[in-house]
Amino acid sequence: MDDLLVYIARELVSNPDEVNVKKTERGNTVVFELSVAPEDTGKIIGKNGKRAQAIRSIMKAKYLKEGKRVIVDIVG
Amino acid sequence: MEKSVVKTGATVDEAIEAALTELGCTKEQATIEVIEEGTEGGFLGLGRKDAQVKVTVNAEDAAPSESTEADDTYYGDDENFEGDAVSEAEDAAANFVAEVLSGIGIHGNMDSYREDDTIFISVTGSDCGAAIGRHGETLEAISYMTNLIANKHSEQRVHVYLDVGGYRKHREQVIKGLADKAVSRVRRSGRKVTMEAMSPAERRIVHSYLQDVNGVTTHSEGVEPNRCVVVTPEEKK
Repeated sequence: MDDLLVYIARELVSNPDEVNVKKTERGNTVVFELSVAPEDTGKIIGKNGKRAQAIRSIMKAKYLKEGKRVIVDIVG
Repeated sequence: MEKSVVKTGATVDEAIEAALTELGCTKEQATIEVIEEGTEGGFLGLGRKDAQVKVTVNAEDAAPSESTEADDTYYGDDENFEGDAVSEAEDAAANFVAEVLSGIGIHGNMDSYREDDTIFISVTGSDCGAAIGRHGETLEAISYMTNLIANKHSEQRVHVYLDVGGYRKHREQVIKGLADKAVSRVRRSGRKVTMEAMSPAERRIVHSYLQDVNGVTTHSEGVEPNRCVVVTPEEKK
């Protein structure tokens, strides 16, 4: 779980209750698997992945201080 | 509905205060959990650690209307607070920025005001670097998201102009300086000059800044994110 990622995702989708985040750490890398309702995947990814890219940038900033890399994967 | 926020601040009290303001509740209505005590740090404040608290509103006590008074004090300088469409968007935008910044772990002061259909939000604080990112990448991402959120809450199209730590203002000066340099190179050589790659907003600054300069025209070339402004000598007729 990550409060910030969940918060952003919930703001974007129409079915906030179906937002799920799974967090795993592999060494220096934090991996998030974000899943939303099937009809909401477009709202998370955006045109040409623009929204997904913005979400990744914000999450990267959060973990930069700890010196960790972040991967945000959208599973659908 | 249970709602909780995590806030950081120079002291535990400051962090609690910020959290309560955001939630729009009193100390009595909330459960406060101190995550990080925070330390003063040694010589010149080196090794200073921010205090971090998690505040949860107790479900029964929570006011049903979401923090209306908090909005007044926190984002404060808006005289015409009428609850119309744009100010709802402004609240949503300001709230989103506050939530994202505290999520990243930044504390600072936030100010917002609007002019017609543009919402200006500026954040100042000492440790804003993380919210700006390399070449303003993070700031761009937060701005983009905030624009989406604001427009979700507004019938009419609104624009959000977000600045953190004065980065955009400073960048504008730098870009104008680069534009001046490009113009003098064009004049000296009589050839076109390609400027460094910039974001659409930054290219717009160049275009409008050089619009009334005699002897040069501007256009953009290339594909995002490597699109550049090209300054060309104006053809003599």
